[in-house]
Amino acid sequence: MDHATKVKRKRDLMHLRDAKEKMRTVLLQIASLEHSKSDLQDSSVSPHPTSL
Amino acid sequence: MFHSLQSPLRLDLRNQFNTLFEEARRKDSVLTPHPIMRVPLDIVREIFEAAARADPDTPFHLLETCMAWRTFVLETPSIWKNIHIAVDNDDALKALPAFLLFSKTWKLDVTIIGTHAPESVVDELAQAAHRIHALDICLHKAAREPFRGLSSAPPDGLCSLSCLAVETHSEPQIRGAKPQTTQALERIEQDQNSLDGTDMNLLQTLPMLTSLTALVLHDMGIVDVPPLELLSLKSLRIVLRNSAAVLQSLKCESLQSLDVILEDTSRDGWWDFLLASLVYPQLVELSVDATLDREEDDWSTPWDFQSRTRLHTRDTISTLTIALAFSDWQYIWGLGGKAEYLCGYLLDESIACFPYLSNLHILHVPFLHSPFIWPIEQILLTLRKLELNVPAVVYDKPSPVIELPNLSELRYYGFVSLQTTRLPSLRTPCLQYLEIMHHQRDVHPIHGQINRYWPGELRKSISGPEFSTSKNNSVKDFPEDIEDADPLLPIIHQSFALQELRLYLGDPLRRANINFGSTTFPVLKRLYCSIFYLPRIVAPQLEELHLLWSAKDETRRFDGYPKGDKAQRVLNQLKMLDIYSHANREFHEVPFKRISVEQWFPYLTSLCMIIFPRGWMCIDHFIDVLSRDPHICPALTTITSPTYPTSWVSLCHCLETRNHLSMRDPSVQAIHTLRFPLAVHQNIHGPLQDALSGEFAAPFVPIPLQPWTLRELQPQIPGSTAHEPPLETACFDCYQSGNTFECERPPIGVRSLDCPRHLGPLSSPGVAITAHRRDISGYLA
Repeated sequence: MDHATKVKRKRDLMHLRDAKEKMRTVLLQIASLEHSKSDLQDSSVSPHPTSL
Repeated sequence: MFHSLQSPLRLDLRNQFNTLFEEARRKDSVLTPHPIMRVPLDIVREIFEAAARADPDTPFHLLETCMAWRTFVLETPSIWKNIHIAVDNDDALKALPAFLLFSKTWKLDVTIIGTHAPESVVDELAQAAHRIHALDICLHKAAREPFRGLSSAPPDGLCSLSCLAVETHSEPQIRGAKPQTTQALERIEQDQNSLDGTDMNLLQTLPMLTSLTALVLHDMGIVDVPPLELLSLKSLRIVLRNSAAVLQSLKCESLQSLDVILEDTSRDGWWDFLLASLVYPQLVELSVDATLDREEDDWSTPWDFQSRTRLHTRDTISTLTIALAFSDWQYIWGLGGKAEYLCGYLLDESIACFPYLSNLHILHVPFLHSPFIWPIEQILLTLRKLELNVPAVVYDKPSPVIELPNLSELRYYGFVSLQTTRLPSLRTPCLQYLEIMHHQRDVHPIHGQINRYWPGELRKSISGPEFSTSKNNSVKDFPEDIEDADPLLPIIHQSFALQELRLYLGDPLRRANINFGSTTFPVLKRLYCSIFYLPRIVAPQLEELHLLWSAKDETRRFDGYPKGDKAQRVLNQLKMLDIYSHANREFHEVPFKRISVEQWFPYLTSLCMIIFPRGWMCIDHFIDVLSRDPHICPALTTITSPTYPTSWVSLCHCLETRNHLSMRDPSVQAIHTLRFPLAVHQNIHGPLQDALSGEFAAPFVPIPLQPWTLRELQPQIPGSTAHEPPLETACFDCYQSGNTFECERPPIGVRSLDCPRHLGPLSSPGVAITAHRRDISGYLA
């Protein structure tokens, strides 16, 4: 693997990590919205969280 | 829930996620390309060729995948060599020129199927006739015409043809179907679906022909059949009428496999056939399926076969299949209660003259129970596969223990009770596959395709006093008492090498049925049985469980089954669960009470694939449970449901939740495949595929003119929480799939409300909706 390829690969990895981090954040936001909604509607508690 | 997801904030977040997911997937595909992108091209080609053999539309699907695959597919002629021409389908006809062009000079495997092949198809194919390697013609009418047309195509006709099949296209036989009768054969001839003298001459001009499957080569009117030399032929499957004249004139020095359906024959005709079939020096596999003409012989008297030419011993034949039935499919007791004799001694002798048989199938041999045709000791030693289809309920006496030391597969279809089967006498220490199917009627729960031997009639009872030499009703008596029968079935509880067990013993509460005790099968992987017998089977390596049902009481047992520790251990290791594995509805028609699968889910921790039953709304229960707890069945990836869910939106939402959980938690797999009986409308398919792929699904859009399919999207009826009900002109499955246009639902008031598309047994594994990307488990961990 030449130097340019290594640099490009490193950059792609950083972009991927960044995108994944943002995805995780968005999913958590959606999960908290879901929780707040379901808590208001139903007081029963699942053994596991219904979302993330 | 659905409406709450439409709030602007949620929609915005979902869109953000999808955009990020697409971006991450693009980067990911560069950094860690899919394994197939790194596979050598030779292997990719092999995979594509296999896919093209399985589905003739494959090349077109591959063309649309990406530019790299498009180029590869267009430059690889072997992917285009399988041509499937459905003559009644305009699209299939349009595709023919593309296959002929892109296959270049490659040899072709051509299938022509449908009603009648238009001349334009034959003309188009004629350009490439010299390239055709295999030709399978299956038409309602004039099946032989394409063969004749292509044989005379310039310059050399079918000079490369190796495999030829000319058959009548017909629906599979159903309950009560008779074997092919004289009338059926005449119709085949009238429809020009059989080969005659003209075609036989054409066959001789095909130097490469190694395999031939054809209908009715011989006409009764022909006395002297001209000699026919097919020196390269290795496999022959033909239908003959009455006599084996064609076979006697056939010179096939290379023939290895001979499969003959001999219609309306006499005892002499059958004997002559056996004599004629034993002249081929290379023959390895012999199959004869004979229907006997009652008017030809007096079947109520034993046949003096001793005066006939004896059959010669043939060491080469290792596989023998014998099926016998009367042409009218009846068994008649004559005046004075005389039974009808078939060829008992003849069967004895024909089996005995093949001392190296390893594979024996005795199918539907009426009024002949195994004691009278049991193989000689030499064969018992070499036999590896045995299939017995016992069409009568023969009240037999116990017989000596019969050791089959090398038998690996046994299939037994008959009425199974202590007094009516020789199964208790068998010892099979090396048995790996055992199938015992017990039923009063000649039906099979799973295999519809063996209907030829399963006419759907009741098995007739035969007892010792009726079937004895003293009444001149038999050439042999039942054996004398040897010992008390084992109340349990040794073949089950002493076959420790079993890898697959298929067991249907009928209503477990009937005392006459054979039973067995708790047994450990150390290497059993696949099991078909009722919930009643399941607790007695200890199988530490069991991976697949297919449940068979026979009695109402079993639904209660199903609900309570997971309560025991032993049951939980079984469920914990299952990889596949088929809750209701009957494909054949004729097998029983008991309207069971609803079962609850919910208790099973917590223990199915290794389950990869689940197949729900048609009824009981199991798919809806599953959606409900998964919505509440997306952790259930953490290894599950594939769901098959013979019916559609009541709410597509609920299904889509629980898939989203589950698959997003799997991104964070590597111990939870993403569900990536759904399988339904038929394709669903694109407006349903699209969002589901999004959810299976790991994205937030695009919003569902109502289907034009079918608003009830996604009725959650419809406004509620004023003053009610309900939505507008669907029209009653379509069955649930059709309107729920968004494909009401082909629904043939019977009129309201008929007991079944399903249309034939959804009522009959599933003939295929269904239509799958699969994810674009499957390996998303642990993606965000």
